[in-house]
Amino acid sequence: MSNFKIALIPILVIIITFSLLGFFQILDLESQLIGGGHMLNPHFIETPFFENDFSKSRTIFLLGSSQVASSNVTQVNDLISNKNISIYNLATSGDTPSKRIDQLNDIISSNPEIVFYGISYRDFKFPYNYNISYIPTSEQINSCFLEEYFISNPELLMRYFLKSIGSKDLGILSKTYMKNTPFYDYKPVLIPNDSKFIQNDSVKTWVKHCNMHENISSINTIISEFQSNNIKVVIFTTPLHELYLKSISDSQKEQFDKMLSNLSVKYNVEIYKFEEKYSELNIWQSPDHISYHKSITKYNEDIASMIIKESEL
Amino acid sequence: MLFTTIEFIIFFILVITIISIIKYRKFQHFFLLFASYFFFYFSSNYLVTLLIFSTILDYYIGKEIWKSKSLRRKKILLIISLAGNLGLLGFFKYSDFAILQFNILGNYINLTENIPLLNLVLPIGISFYTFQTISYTVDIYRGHLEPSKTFREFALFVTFFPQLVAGPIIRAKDFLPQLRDKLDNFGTRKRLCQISIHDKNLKLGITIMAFGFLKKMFFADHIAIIANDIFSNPIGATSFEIWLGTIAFAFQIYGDFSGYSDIAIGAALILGFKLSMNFNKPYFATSFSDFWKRWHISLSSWFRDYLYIPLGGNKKSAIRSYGNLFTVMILAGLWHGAAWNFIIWGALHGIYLMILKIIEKIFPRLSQHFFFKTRNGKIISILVTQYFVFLAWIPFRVQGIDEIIYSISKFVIIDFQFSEVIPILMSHKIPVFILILFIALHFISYRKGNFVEKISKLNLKIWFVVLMIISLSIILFYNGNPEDFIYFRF
Repeated sequence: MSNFKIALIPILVIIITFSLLGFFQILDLESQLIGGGHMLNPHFIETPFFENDFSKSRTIFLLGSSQVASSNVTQVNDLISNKNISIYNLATSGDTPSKRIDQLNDIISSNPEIVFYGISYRDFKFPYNYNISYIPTSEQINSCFLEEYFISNPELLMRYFLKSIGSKDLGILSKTYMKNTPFYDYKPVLIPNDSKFIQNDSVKTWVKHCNMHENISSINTIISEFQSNNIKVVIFTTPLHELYLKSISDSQKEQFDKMLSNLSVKYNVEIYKFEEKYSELNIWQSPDHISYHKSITKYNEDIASMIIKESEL
Repeated sequence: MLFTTIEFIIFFILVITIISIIKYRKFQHFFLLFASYFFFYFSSNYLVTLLIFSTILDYYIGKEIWKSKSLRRKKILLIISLAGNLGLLGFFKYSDFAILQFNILGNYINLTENIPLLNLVLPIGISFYTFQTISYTVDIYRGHLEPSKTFREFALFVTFFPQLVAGPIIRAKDFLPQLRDKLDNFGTRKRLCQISIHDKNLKLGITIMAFGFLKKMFFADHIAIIANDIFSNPIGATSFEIWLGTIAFAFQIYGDFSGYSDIAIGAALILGFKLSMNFNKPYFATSFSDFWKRWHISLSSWFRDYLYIPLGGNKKSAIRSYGNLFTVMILAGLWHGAAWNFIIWGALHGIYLMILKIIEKIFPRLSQHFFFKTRNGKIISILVTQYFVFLAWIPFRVQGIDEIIYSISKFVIIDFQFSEVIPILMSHKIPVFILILFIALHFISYRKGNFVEKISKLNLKIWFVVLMIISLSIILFYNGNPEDFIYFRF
């Protein structure tokens, strides 16, 4: 009997632990789906994004990380005010070209007219822990994503969960999902004081760990694949706060610029540079993210102008 | 089959359930044997044939050595056994390394043709079970051990799944008698005891396993992030980074390997088998010889009994005993892997032990000096010893001679550049916190004795809470990208 009790305890412990894991996952579903918020985006529950019919109008995709998600496409669409054109922001948290490459076939099969790819220094030099997010392919979206992601990284889930304790973030209830931004979920955001940025370690940590070559090779592949499928590609650099810019050395800037000019020459793509344009304005939610607060329109106006120019509207 | 997988948990629960149901000793042995071969086959596939070959070879040679009256015949049989076992080990583990060295040498003397590499898969656990079977035949040859009475029992000694792939390296004289424990039946007849799951063993075994999982999955796998980040490209790193990386790796490998050993010891204990301790707070060793009495004890004692002593140990001249030490440590390094960095690691430890011997010879009473009995004396001894032990971990972990030289120079000659301290700590907040926590727990276990055993004696409610904390720490902070057990590579 005692043997039975002793044996029962570890089994009970395992059952409780996994149940708790499941409970946290249900409680905090959206947090763990970084880049995969799509699964919870109510606009795409019935029909996954890539299964939509894009042939009704001219389709334009914005690609990139959360830095690109800072561009409010609803506002951009309003500014363009052309019903024959549909702009979608496919930004995902933690995007890099080497991750985006997984989604290439889905994007190509949607047959967009132009793809605007927003990149920045950090896409080519990433802290080690950023690679925990991923961009879902249509296969993953349609398959059992529980197996693909849920069980694979409980640590990430717990870190988000623990972080949310004590914060005013109400998790899933506080998120906003937009139809034209399928893979990103927006939190209500305030414009903080500049002083808060100094505490933000993202300024200093990003330069240390990276897989630069893989990402450079991936962006080359992405551009070349799009072009071979008659999809026009435009590159733009995402805006950065002056504190962030100061943390980048001259040689790193030189290296990044050289890469851009190589891409421009090799593929004849247009490059728009926004990284320093808003650096001194008080429109930031973090040193590398412009706030997507509705009162901030400057960035969206520039994105709209770029799209108008490149789509020859 | 990795211990840290759901497959193993299910496998192990099934094994102990079936063992509890089977009431006949021989069937229990057959079942354990079958389970062990399945365990090995699960991860090694056809390479299980090597294990079977080694088992058959040593069982019959062991019997023949025991029966043989002629010393010459005994010697020939022993040589066949050694050649068979070491031949397999050498072929699978060292062929490519030898070919590579030969090709490099050939290039120096302008040989145009290179010998192609064999690209052999290293059979998991071969370094461990080979040493185990060698010790069996050598012990019989020396007359220290009677051969196993049945092939079944010998095969179980070689393949016993908890220790099969990464030790501890068990000795037949410790294990075989456990298969034949006697049960006093009515005080008159002695019967062989069947395997039964006892309360005390079950609780202690589960506790040891739980701490093993904690060491490996919570501590070592998280701490590995620091070492991997720093040592993936150490050139350009500051002294602070190299020190942090070295400390992280030292505790990663300790957590990784001692965690594996704990799981093996705990699993064996649940089944009623006592395996010897493999680690005993090695980072509190006060000298290099003390370190080797605390680190991978089953391997270091194997090298002592089957290599160092046969070479003459310290019974010959001083120079010879230094040479013996150095040779043994070089071979111990080579045992870990066919690469120069393991040889350098072994050579460093060989040099440390030689220097220690020389100091002991010149100042025979130094270790008895009252200063070394004091608290401060012990702390200084530990710090000095560990400084050199940690230094030796650098070639063990870092790939490439340039990288090793750079890392060692930064470890030894401090550059006092602290600009990277805050960024590196901030970018590794959680792993650094876990590293500090692990060091603190290591210290507590050193001061408080065997607290795992104490935990296993707690009442069921408190024990449940402890297991809950361990389980939550492991599963809820599992990073989704686990590291393989480091010693699986050896």
